[in-house]
Amino acid sequence: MSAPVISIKNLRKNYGSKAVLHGINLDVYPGQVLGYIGPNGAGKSTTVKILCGLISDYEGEVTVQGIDIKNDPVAAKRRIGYIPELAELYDVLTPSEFLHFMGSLYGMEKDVCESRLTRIMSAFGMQANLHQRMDTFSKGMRQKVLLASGLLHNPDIIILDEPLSGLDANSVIIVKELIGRLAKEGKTIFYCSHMMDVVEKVSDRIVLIDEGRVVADGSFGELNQQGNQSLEQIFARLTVKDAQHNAADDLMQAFEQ
Amino acid sequence: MNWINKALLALALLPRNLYRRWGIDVSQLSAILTAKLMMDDRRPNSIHVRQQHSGGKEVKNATIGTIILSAVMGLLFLFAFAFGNDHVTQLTVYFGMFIIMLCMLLVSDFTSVLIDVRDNQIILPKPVNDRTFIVSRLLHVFLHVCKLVFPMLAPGMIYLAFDSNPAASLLLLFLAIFATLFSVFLINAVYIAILRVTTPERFKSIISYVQIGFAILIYAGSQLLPRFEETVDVAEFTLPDKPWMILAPPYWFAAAFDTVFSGSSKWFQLAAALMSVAVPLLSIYLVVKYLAPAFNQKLAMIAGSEGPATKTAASREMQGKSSLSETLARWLTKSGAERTGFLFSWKMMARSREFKVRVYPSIGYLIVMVVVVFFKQSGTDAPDSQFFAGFKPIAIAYLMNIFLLAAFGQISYSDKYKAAWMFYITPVPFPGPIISGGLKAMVLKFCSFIGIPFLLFSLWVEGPSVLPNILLAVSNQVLLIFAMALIGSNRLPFANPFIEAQRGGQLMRLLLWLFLSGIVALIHFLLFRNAVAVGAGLVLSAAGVWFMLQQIKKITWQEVELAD
Repeated sequence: MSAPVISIKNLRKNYGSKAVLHGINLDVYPGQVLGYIGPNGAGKSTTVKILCGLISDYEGEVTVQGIDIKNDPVAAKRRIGYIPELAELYDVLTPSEFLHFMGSLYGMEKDVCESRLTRIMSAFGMQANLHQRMDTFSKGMRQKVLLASGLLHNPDIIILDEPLSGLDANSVIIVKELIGRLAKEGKTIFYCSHMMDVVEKVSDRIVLIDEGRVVADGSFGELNQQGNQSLEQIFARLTVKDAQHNAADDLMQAFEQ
Repeated sequence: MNWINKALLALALLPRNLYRRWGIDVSQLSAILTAKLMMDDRRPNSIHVRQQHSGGKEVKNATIGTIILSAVMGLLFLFAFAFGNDHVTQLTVYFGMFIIMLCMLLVSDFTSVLIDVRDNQIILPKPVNDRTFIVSRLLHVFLHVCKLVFPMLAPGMIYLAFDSNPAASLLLLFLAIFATLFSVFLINAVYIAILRVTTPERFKSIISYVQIGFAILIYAGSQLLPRFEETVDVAEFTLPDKPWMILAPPYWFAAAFDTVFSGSSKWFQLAAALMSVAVPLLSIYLVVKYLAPAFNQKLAMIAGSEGPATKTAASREMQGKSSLSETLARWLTKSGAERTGFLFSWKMMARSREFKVRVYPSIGYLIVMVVVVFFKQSGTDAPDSQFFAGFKPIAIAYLMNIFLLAAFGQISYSDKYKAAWMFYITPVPFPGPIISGGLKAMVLKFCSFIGIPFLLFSLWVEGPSVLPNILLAVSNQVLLIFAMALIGSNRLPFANPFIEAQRGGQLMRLLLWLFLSGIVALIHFLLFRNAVAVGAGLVLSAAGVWFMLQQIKKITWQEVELAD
């Protein structure tokens, strides 16, 4: 196998006295679509923020295409396209202005940027909105602009955090298909989500973390050794400590009296 | 972008080679500044805090608005030259006004414009190195300050150029740059201090209180300064020529001007002149070296999800305040929808930042009016003062209702108006009780905030005989407000977007209110010495209030304008 694109070795991170990551080890290879899942507070977002160079006070080693993120975060960031979950936008700008701004931060030529952003936004059916201010945009429209801003510079690594939130069914299909096509071209996709059915379908490798540790790592087939379980069920089996089915019982009991 | 921003951008990017030598990516720097200036142009400026979100119209060229407003402030500063006729006095006043105004403007702009927390999400994941990012921020602050400072100085410079000579106006400009550095330092220090003692979450509320104070100060200044000029002979006013003047920063700059301009040689004036240059330079060094790094870190937390601190603050509030409002609600409302409306509005008024920012400045107008009415006529003239004697506190009681009107004008609006779905989905047969509950909460807030303190004050000044008259005045105003609520569009509390607040009807309602209020006050004035008439009026007015409330409670869903 070729050299890993993303390599995480013994990654630890504390917020004050609270440890969030207890030594994550992970190698991701070109062309992989990695589904990164875990319960709330498991440390998913922290891992992603470290990968994107947003958090630098961690222990362990994280390299992106051989570049240590701590030593040269700028070079690493250049290779990554990050699409944050429901992120802020400078919404008094228009998509065209915003994406040109993003493009120039990646050092892109103006013409290249223009033609790409026009095509990406048209593919999402937003060519008519290119020159409208984004403060009136719906959640889905904003998400499309975010997706465009992460893909614009044609990065080798794409980190997606809940990228489908707010999108309509048609756009969801487009994005899912796009993920597959990008992977085929050798791009590496790091996909964080709570939507198990989507993760199950789009990713060819699933990493499940819980309380800052990797508890499962493999393709869906490998995780599903007992056969005919959904990812949701596997997820529940691996992460629920006190039998979860009681929660529904408790809820039902709340109405008795 | 307009030409002003283009020129500013070109100016900021002038030392390209220097930037490159520092390891700054100039094209990224230019891109960030372009985006920032473009956004500044589309944001309503800080002086119009209360008019934010105004109308569906898109804000364009806000920069030009900012510049014009700064120039107008600069014109107000010219008042300083009415003082005495020595440069030290005039310029101490001038720089005093300049520094205060600039600090106020910077405080209200810093979080929203200059330190945009979205940067953390949008720019930091991009391949931008730290130096480029920090320099882009500093340059943005610099450009913003330029937009404020130069127009503000222009009137003073023009005045000096004609009054003395052009060299004097250049000297003023030169010293003002140092005064600006000093102000930036002051603001930075204040921000750090505030962040030391409070959580980032609270920080935002503190900033909005500063904005409220700012609005009040501007209004009070514009009202009281001319009156001050009438009563005190400003031309005779001179600052004492004493060493302790060195404690007042504006004096440094005035002293520096005087030293250069007329070659004064008093030791403390020379020392002050020296400080005008040395202190700003030293303070800028402190900002860059020590304050700025900690500052950015802390500010980043405002947006961050630093959970624990904010959680405790919130839970503390919940426990403390609920009991009082619930007791009041039990006394004043029937159970069900009306009590809900009361409690909901009570809490929203107390906690909604934007409601406070829009309504509280009117307290400033009130204070100013009270000062004007109560203390101005203490002089000699005015044969009619005898005629109006005794009616003054009652007149103020009528004026005070500007606050009630301001609150009434805002109570149906909120940024989070969509949360009003809770009224629409629950099985409430009539929205009337919710509206009446909200109005009761509003009137009660008004009474406890302003009414009772004012009542005590006027009892102290005028004696107990004034009591029935004040009660009648307040009751009449409440009656008018309720009547307006009834004939208005009957809106649910905090359930409509602000955009609509600007639309037509508002002004008509205001005029109607002023007209009716005037008539009622006139009738009251004709009767106010007649105790029997006042008593009867009070009974009638109270009955009217009760009747209006009953009518409001009957408002149906068909009469309520639904948002969305």
